[in-house]
Amino acid sequence: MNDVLVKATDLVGRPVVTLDGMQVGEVKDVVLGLGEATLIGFTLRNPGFLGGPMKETVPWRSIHAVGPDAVMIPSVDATGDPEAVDDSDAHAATEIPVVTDDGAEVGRVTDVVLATGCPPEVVGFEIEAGEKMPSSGSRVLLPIEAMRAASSEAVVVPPTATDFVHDDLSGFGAAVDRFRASLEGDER
Amino acid sequence: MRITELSGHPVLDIDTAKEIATTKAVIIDAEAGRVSAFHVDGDAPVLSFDEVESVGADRITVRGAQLHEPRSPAEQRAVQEGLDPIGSKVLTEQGVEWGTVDDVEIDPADGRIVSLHVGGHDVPGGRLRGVGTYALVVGVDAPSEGGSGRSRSEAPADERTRDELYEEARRRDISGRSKMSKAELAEALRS
Repeated sequence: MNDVLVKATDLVGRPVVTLDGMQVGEVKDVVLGLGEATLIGFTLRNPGFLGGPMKETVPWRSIHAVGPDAVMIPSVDATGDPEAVDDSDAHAATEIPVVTDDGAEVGRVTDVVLATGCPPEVVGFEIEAGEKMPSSGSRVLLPIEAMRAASSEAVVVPPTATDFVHDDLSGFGAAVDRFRASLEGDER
Repeated sequence: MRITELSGHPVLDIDTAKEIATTKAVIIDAEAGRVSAFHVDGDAPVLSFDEVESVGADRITVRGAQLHEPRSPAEQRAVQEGLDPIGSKVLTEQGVEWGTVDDVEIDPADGRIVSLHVGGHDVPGGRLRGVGTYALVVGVDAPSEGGSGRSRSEAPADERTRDELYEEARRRDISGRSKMSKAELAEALRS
């Protein structure tokens, strides 16, 4: 995994540019989801200090690349209608409890972690560690593979997932790799 | 030839020996990979490259050329928004900023973009993807190599632009490629 990891909400304010070199706006809000799509897309605002909101949104699937300096989309046609990316889900997806198979609450979802690149990839969740965790109260990262099921009520993870939580993005890539390796080892 | 040399160039009609305009900036057609027109100061703001007789060191010469109002999106960006590739920000299609355009090397015969000078580095003209008001976008890989597979599919030889054919010829190291026309390149790639 050579791509750089970023938190989805850190993309707020990043310019959204077509491959034609035209700016369509900047990221206003990141819309998180659960289940199949953990990241639904971005809402946009006009660039600049006093930039107002824009009607257009960018669905996650139509993003060409997420880079350190811009989010690239193929063309203006990649922006969708407001209903495609519903703003109201953004806050619904955070605060969802993360629970292990055996019923322990690990923490609550606060963000989604992405690997930048072309195309970008969702690699995990940032969660606020619950009381049962050694790192209680702090923000830790959980690999996406750890997610067994999700709904608006809970994200279910195996008990071993807590061994792979990481508290900083720099060590997170290695934790994801170890977790993937351990999942492969489980397949009997 | 570098496009910084072509700014403020007088446009001389060699039939009447009159200067009809002065160039302000070049207008790039990114899809065709060439300078398609000049943004000029004259009776109308655009001079098509195809109307140019010769791009000389001191004058651009034409024969009875007609200047016109902007037609293509690239011409509109140049005229209405004052877009000049020189000094334009450069983004890769991966969303990484590379710096700004210092200069663009073109083939004065047909306006083809040979290379872009970006922060002391040369980027082959074939990598140019778009020229917009926010940035000039370059591909990290040659366009016909597929990349992510989302941006551009492999086109049949005769539907590709000259630049795509040229890029392919460069990869296959076909000699004499820089002097070939589009048809000649397509022919050389088929054999």
